[in-house]
Amino acid sequence: MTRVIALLGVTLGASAAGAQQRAAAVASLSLMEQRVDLGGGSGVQRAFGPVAGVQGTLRATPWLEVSAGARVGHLSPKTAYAEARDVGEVGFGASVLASPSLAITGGLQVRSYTGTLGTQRWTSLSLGAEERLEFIGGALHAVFRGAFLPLVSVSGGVASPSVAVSAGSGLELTRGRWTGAVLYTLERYDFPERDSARRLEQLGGLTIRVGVRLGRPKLGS
Amino acid sequence: MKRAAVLMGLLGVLAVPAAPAAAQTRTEELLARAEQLYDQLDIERALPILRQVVSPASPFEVTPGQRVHAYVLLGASLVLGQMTDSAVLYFRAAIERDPFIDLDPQRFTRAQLAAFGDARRAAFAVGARPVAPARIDPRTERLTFVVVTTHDAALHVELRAGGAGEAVVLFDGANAGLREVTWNGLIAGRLAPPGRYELTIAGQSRLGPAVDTARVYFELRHEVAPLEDTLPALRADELRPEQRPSSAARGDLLRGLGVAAGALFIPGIISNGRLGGGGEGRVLSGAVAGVGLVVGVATFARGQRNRAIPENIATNARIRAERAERNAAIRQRNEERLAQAKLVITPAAGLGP
Repeated sequence: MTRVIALLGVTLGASAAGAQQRAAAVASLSLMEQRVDLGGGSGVQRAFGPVAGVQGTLRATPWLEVSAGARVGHLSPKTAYAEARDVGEVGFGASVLASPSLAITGGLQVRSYTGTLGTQRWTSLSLGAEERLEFIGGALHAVFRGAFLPLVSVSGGVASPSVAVSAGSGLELTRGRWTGAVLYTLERYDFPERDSARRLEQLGGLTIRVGVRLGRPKLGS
Repeated sequence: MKRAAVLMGLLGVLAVPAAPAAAQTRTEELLARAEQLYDQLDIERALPILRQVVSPASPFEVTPGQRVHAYVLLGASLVLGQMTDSAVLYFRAAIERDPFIDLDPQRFTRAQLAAFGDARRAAFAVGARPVAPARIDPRTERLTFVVVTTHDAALHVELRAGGAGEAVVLFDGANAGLREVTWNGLIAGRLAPPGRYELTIAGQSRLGPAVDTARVYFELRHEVAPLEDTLPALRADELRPEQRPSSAARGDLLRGLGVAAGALFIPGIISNGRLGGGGEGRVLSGAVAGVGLVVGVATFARGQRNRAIPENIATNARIRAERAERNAAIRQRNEERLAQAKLVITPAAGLGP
């Protein structure tokens, strides 16, 4: 069985300041660390590895941007009892500009972890915000994002988490049609206690993104 | 008769302070009576009346014109009385007071005209008629001044704005008698500005050492279509700042530090403590924090060194150029309107020697 895992993902939170052009294509490379504690004294299992992705965004209106993307990667075990797993993610997102620097974000993502024991599918709905603070000159932005995941469904008889949040911080640079970003993001999932065991999970990592804006600039948008 | 004259004089004295116009009328009556007697060749009766009019002790108000008229009648009467030398003296007195005075050849005898001519040669005076109200288009019309010298003289006529402005010489040469001098409404090639003007007539007799000067004054204003105001100077709030405030660089530093703090503290705040720290996750967040810190410090240092905003400087230059261009167009339109201005002339008060 191949260890290449197909991971399809989506990056929620289309950029608040957004591109002047209607569409943009982004490629990303992430280094992700997953931590899982199944409870009952089983200890923390850590897995780490690269995840690559692509994303497309479309500015539907001056204040609405939609996006879709996919990510795939492989996480290698870093502790005992941790197992290697492939991760794939696909999703759709939308962001609405509430102010020139603040966007309200929302999205739907489906993520799968495939290991030796099978595949576990996570489906989640997120709702959050992204603040982009402009540096002098406007080419560089500080990006801060946070989101709640009110609906998370995990396959395999696992109950939905009682706490599901994500946060991120980073920098984004724009040069002509090109954009680049470096972001640190973290997702936390706390599951309800079951049989005196409480399952905890988090997925965090560093993402480097490179994008290009497509089409001619839209004046006044 | 004498009692009647005294009574008449007393009446005149009493009347003067109360009603100057009535006194002038009384002088007119005296002059009319004297002229009637002169026409009837009753010189003996006309002379006392005329002498009374020109006497400094006259109880009646006598206008300059009435005085000149009386001197002329006196001169003419004395010629008829064969007292030519005295006649010339009175004619001189009339001429010196009114250089424009002349005798009508149809009404006066050759002897009277000759005596008047002698008086003209003996007396020297220059004069200018008061400027009549006028409205002229300087492109097609001229303003005419009438000046005079009582005999052959070197004449200099000049116009000066405000008494101390630039002078325009309207005539400089020999003259005898009346002369019309014209002015095109320009000073130094430009339309004369509105204001008060002084016309100076200076003459030097060519028959003797006598010199004389006369001045008349007038007001000049432009009759022109309303002019546009130029746009005021740009206010500070109409221009973009050309330098960033020092707080902008501090803001960049804070943004960079914010990114660093976010990357560092997210694992501690968001993650569950039971999952522990360290590991690759700590390295990854530290890397982003390091990038944020470096970028913040670098942009702060750059912002402190170079605060100029080239885009705003260029924008302001464009705004200033546009404003200057619009003002130049307004000035051009105003100059075109001024070039089509009419000059409105009105006499002004003022006495000149």
